[in-house]
Amino acid sequence: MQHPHFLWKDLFRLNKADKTLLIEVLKENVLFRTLSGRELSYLSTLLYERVYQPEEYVFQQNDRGLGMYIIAKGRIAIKTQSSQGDALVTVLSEGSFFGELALVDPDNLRSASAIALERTILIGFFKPDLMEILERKPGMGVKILFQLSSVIGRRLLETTEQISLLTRAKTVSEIHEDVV
Amino acid sequence: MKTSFDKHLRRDLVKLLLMSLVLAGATAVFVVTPALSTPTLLSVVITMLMSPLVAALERRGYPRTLSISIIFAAIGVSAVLLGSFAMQAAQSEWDSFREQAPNYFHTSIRKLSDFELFFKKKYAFLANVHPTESLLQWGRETGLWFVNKGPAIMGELLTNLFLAPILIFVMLSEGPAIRKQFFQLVPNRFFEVVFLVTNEISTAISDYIRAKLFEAFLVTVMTTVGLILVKAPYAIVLGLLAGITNIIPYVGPFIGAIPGIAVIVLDPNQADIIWSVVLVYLVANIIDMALIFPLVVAKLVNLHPLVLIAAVAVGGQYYGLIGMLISVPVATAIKVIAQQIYLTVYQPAARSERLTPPIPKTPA
Repeated sequence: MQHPHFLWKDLFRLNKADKTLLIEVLKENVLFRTLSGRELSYLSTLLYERVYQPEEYVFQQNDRGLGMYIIAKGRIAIKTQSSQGDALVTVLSEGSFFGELALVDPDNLRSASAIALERTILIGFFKPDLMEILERKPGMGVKILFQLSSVIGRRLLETTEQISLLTRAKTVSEIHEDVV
Repeated sequence: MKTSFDKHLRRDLVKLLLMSLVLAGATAVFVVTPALSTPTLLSVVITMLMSPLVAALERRGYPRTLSISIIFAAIGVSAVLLGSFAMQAAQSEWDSFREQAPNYFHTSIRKLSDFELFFKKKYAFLANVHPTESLLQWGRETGLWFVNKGPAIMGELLTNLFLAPILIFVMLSEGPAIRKQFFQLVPNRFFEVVFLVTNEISTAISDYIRAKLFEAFLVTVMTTVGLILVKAPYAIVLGLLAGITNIIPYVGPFIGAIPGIAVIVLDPNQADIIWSVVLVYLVANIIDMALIFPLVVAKLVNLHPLVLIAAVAVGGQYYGLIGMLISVPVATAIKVIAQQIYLTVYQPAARSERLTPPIPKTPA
């Protein structure tokens, strides 16, 4: 029988080893790479560790979103649902993060669903805590926001390139159809 | 998808049950133990007030614990300095009031007896009504209650004075850790919703408390200055009373004006300033209602005036003065929860409708 870790481990969690591990995970993350040791330590007090079982939803498409998650352990599948059916967008593993748009999107609605593929430990970072950092430690907040905007900018660039490629491919196929 | 959603239902329900038990247990302990709930509630309010000060020091680079210690030291020093000055000023007012109080009491009883006799002579059916005797009886009972409960009240006050600073320090320094421990009890599927709702409620309530205390402070200053200008007695004490009672929505300003006007009415030597005193209370409340409340409090509360009146009435009906005090924060919390339920249920549908582009018409 599985140990009911969700009751006890979660209740008495933050020991020193866990905190060090958490800081190590944060240090590796692009959003927090520029933070100093002290800032990372402060950040670790604001983050939430959540444990998900296989096939458990982290969130569902169109749910109201509040923040992002970093994968400390395990794998997460990102899926979209539409009238044409479900589509697997990507599978993320340790060190990756997702849901970061909710930190800046005023609509706060998830554009895809996230599902744990195995027992997964996530570290949640939420908008109210980002706002608290901006209020209490503006310098640190600016560092996070700068990294966040670079990530969103890079993803926008990649999306634009994909759209250009698709448009070009569509135009070529239309010309081909016309010729044929 | 439905199968996987329900797969973890049992575990989530156990967590939900555990969370409800913890909340219900904590509430029960608080309800049956006023010795614990009073200093805790007081500490929560003061913590909400002090939190922006801690944030301001942290912005300047001070660590959290040092920031809290600096604020505690500053408050302690200011309390001793200001307290000694204020005590000297208030002491003379209090001594004078203590000397005059029996006169006020006898004058009011005499005037009431005169009224009673006058009305009883005029209206025979009032023969069996004895308001003066009832008032005296009530006064005797209240006096006896104070004599009996006095030591207990003093003991409670001292306990609060001792416990509150410790609780405030813990709440300010360990607040995020306590919050984290609570959220570990929330099941994954409700985590973000509970996080959002509790965060919005605590922001709304702390904003409201800060705004109301700022409003009370301004009313205290305006009333005290006004009463000093018209040379009314006990200006500081009466100004403070007006400020404190102003925290109660709608009826507070009237309750606050009663002691000031009563003192003037009962003192034959002060009869010439009665209208000036009424004017001071009136002007202070007009400025409060026309400027301070709309600019400071109403913007933060964001509840319809009718809802506010209803909330205060319901609070007063069931829990008296305390009910009136907490009615607005409770109404704000209910509004936030209702708003989140509405958004959770309707917003996704609205967004999917908005994001579905209309099918373009094929050009003819």
